[in-house]
Amino acid sequence: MKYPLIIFVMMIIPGFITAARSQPDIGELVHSLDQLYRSDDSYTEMSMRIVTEHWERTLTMKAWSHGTDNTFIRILSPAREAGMATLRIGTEMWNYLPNTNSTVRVPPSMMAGSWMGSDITNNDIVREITYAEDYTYSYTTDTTLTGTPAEGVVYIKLVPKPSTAVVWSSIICAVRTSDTVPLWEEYYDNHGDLIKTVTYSNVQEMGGRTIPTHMQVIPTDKEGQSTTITWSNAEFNQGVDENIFSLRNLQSR
Amino acid sequence: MLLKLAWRNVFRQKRRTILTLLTMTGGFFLSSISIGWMNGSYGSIIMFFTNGRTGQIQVHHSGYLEDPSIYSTISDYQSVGAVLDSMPGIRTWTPRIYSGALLAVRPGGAVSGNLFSNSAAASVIGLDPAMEDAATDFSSNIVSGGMLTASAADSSYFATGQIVLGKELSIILDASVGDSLIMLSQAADGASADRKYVIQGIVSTGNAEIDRITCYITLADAQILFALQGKAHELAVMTSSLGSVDALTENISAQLSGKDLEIDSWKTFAKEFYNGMKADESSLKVMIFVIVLVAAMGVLNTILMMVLERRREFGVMKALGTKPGFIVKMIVLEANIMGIFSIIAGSILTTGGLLSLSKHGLILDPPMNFGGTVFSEMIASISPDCYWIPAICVIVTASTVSFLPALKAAHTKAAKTLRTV
Repeated sequence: MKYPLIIFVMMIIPGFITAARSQPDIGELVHSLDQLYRSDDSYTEMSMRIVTEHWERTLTMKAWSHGTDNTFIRILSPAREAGMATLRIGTEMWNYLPNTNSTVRVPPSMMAGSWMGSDITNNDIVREITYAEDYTYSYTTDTTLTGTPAEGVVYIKLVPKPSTAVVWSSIICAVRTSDTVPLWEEYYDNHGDLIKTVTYSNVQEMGGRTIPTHMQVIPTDKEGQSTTITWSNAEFNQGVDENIFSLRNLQSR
Repeated sequence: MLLKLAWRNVFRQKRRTILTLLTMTGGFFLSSISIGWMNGSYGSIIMFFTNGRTGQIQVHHSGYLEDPSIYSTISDYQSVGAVLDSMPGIRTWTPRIYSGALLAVRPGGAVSGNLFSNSAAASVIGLDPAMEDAATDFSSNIVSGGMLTASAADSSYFATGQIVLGKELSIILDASVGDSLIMLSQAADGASADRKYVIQGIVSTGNAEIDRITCYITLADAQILFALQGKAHELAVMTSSLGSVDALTENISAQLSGKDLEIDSWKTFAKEFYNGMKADESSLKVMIFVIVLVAAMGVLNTILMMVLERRREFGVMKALGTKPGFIVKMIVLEANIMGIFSIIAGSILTTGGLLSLSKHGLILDPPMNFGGTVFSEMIASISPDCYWIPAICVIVTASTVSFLPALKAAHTKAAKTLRTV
């Protein structure tokens, strides 16, 4: 009777090993999502294509970041908007409008408003929120949320903690286990209705990291509307001049 | 015989006849003047209101009036304008662009710097200065500075533009002619719309509510700023006369069918004003009715008095064999003869009164406010309505109110009357 038992144990151990492989440590996974585009400092070049029912336009821009506090974005094109810039220091945010040579501080009431007419809000830029610290998370197998499970993909349900000020009540995130790159995120309100979908694609080696270089935000309630950001260059932890994150630099053209 | 008798009776008791005539003529005159006023002043108020701001007819993209979105534009307004130009009855038309913006002024009207002393949300109207002047005589309302002129901002987004502020808005911003301000908004293509402006003029349209929130830039400037090249939100159409508006509205709709445009008369787009006018018109009709009623009571009173005074006469007539019907006809005819006299006298008085009121008008103190437009003078107009409506009222009233006393006279008992009176 011993042998059959050994054979049975030998049969199920690989199963356990496979399960453990397909479900990596969720804490590490969430941390890797937080660090996807974050670093001590970064410099990126990107384009943002905004499509709405009435218009579409593409902006190109450069962005610098330092830690989680400082961000600076300068618009390069189109000509009409070239030179416009956004500076964020902590929770404060300013926009510079070169045509009128004016700097406008974004008031708290406008933080939920659109940035440059896109589906990205000022809050999305200012936010210091991390999934690891500001959300509770767990794996989910609820196919009504995840759809048909894909091979090599895990699904995480992130629920904001009561102290986290966001307009959604949960996020479902699909992550590829092989390289912990997110494939998509779906944001739901407290009625369980989908608010927006963020998809990630075109994973490339850029600045020494493997990152999705294509991100698309699709709001559910605005048919045909989307914002697509495409990274063309990225450098991480190469050191940035801290003077970049100043009002003086914001107002230089 | 009947007419002769009635005619003579009218002149037999002159004092009584004059009293009745005065009542009837007074009633005719008052109702006639009221109608002349109603027609004239309301007509001029409507023309004043529509010519000064809205036009009598407006063309928009379908649905714009209900949901005035920046995207809801007349895409090729010049071709629509060409259709309007070809139609008789249209005096002129003017294109406009509407949007909203934040205006901010630097201290002392400085050109640059990051400090802003005052700011205000404003409604921005882009207009063609020459066409707007031809349509609404806009520049006549400028109280300080001058009208918008062509500037580099009409062709370049990066140039400084000219702006005219509503008087109350300029007070809120503490800005005067020659000062600089900046405008912040969003264009129809989603891009930021920000531009420097120099205040060219201050306008007072007479409506403080509008002047508190409105600023004006040139149409070409607005088209560039809001990324609406070749487009307009509204075409305000000025007609030659108010009477042709409804027919013209239908005609324009037929001419522009299939272009997804909405053509409305002032009764639709200035609904508040129109309802105010209608309510006031109804109250004036009630007033005319009261005047006619008071005059009728006066006539009834004098005719009753006359019947009582002439009881002996009717008794003698009955004793001589006059039929009651004859007496009824005679009295009604007498009232109608007096009615005709009062119409003649009233018409002469009315013509004089209306001619005077049509030239000088009546100064309203305090001024009257209709849908935000203030009127300080009411002007009358002479039209057939002023004569035939009161004339019919006088004849109908004379016949009606004299009928009962006439019946009473007709039933006079001859023997009893001759014994007692």
